[in-house]
Amino acid sequence: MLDWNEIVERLGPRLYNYFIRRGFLKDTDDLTQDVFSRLYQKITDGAFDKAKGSLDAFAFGIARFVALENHQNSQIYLMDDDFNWDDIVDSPESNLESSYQRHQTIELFLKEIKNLNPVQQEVLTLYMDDELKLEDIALLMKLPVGTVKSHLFRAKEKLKNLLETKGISL
Amino acid sequence: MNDDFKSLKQLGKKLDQPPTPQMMMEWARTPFKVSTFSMKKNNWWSLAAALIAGILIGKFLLQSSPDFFSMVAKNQVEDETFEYVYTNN
Repeated sequence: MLDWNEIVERLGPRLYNYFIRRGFLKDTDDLTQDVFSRLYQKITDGAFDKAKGSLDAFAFGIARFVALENHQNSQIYLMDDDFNWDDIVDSPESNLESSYQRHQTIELFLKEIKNLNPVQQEVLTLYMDDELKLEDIALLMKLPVGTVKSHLFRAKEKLKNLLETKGISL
Repeated sequence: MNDDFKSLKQLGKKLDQPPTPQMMMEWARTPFKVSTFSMKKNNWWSLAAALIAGILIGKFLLQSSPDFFSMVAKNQVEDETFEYVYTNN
């Protein structure tokens, strides 16, 4: 049996940040909880097969579906000009300055990512996870690795142009 | 090719924000929140078996404790007899 605390320690922050990148700023912790509930259920039902891929890829596959199920609540599509971060999320950080800068970068990123098509958005936000590899993304999106690479390349080029005009280098 | 995308991983790190310890604690409690029973193809047999067992136990109780049920039936007959006698006299 897998060590559940170790799974939460390893995947909790990564799934939480995946939902932030997908534009879920209000219910990020609930959505992460939803992923953990489904993941636990699937592990106990014996639906997870190590031979078919890593647990991380399996968990992110669930997270991807949870994001798709709740996409109407994503701020990527709702965000307008008078967006106020303070109304959305309670920051656990004590350093106000770094917290402000991070929120500015996230806000800018979410505004610009709107210009990518849905598949590019998905590939990009998954790849921005520190540990996920192209092979993992290909597996969970059921796409060939080459296709994932080309989506990612196009997404990066588009985002690079958009962010560089706002002073963020990529 | 992977190196071409290194900057995306770095941007991801720049955006990362840590979840609160309370959130981590709640997620760690997931096994206590989730019911392990679900209607999946691998456990519908156990549901059917539980249902059949319930029917058999119910039937056995009805058959093996006639005194209790006959008392209920007897009272009902007496009530009806009393009502009949009372209303017809």
